[in-house]
Amino acid sequence: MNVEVRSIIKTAEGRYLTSDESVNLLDLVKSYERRLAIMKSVEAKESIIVRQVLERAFERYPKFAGERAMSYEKGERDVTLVLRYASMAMLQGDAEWFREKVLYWFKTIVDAMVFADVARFTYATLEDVVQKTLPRADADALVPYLHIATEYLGGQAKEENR
Amino acid sequence: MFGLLRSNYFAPRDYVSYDMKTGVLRARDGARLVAFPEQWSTGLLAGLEDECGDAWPVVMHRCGEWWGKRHMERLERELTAYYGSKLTDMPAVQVHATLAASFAAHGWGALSMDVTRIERGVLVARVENAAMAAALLSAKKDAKGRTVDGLLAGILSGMLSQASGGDVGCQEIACAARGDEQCVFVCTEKARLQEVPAWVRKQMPAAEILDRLDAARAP
Repeated sequence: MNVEVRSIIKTAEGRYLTSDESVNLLDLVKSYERRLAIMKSVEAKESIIVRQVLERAFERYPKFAGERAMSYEKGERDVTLVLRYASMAMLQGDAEWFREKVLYWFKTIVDAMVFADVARFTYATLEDVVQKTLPRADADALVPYLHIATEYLGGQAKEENR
Repeated sequence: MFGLLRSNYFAPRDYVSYDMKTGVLRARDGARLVAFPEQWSTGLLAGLEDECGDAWPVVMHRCGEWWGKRHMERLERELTAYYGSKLTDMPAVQVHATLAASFAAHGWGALSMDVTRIERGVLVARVENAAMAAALLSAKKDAKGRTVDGLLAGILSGMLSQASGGDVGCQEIACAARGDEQCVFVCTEKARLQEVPAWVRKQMPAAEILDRLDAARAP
């Protein structure tokens, strides 16, 4: 069950929904049409967004372009992963799902590669490119989730794990 | 273009399901799980000490080793299906992240692997909130200067042996239950670990134990 719906139901335990709660629930249901439209908008622009992010990332970190095998493909995979799962989190209105499903796991990989700085730059760039590529309202709905990724993946690892 | 785009197989809401009517907790592949409380952990430790005396760590280690091997066999099947790639073909960092997520999903604690000594044949695993140590701390029970996560050491040994096809030993060299910052496990060839239990009993610091293992390896 959607986290926002669950919250309304949990608050109303042992009674019926109040008028305000009913209105909130209906607003929530109506909001899904909009959220799905945003997701479709991201899907339509995905390849453009990912390409622009990678162009800027490789410009900032040129050594990766030649140094690591299949760098572009790996970068494409990773940026696409974050973009798609952030979109799904936006659809659900559930940032914790995003953390559990991707970020905690992906952070282990980023830290093992000592890539926090690269991740911070790449996902901050993703926020920027999304803001410039999508209609403003669509970007405003998605960027908070991308920002969670930037902050978490770009955070410094614990010293003993580096 | 990349193949399957997958993330964390062990995300809690996908990995664990609970049927209130039947009282059954299941993992994603349908295998039954049993959740046990911290009191069970402290009870197990007390019971083993009572029944087995000084051999309790060996018994715990063996139990963990057996379970770790079976667990790794299951993971190899499940993760190959999910990621579309064998564990042995995945990048090491992805295997590490996935094993850490598996540990967390099963409640064993937050695992991180230190591979800085891997060229010397030593893998160091650090676990925050390790189950047995956390249970003792929570119950305010005295670890009597001992490391108490023999079960987890056995699990790591079993998992790494299964994954590598070798015979990997694992010993806990620092334990939160006795006041160390976190639980630390050293994993390497079993023959290299022979003296480690004695060093641990003397409460030698983990860093010194690792240095000694390095020195013993040096030509």
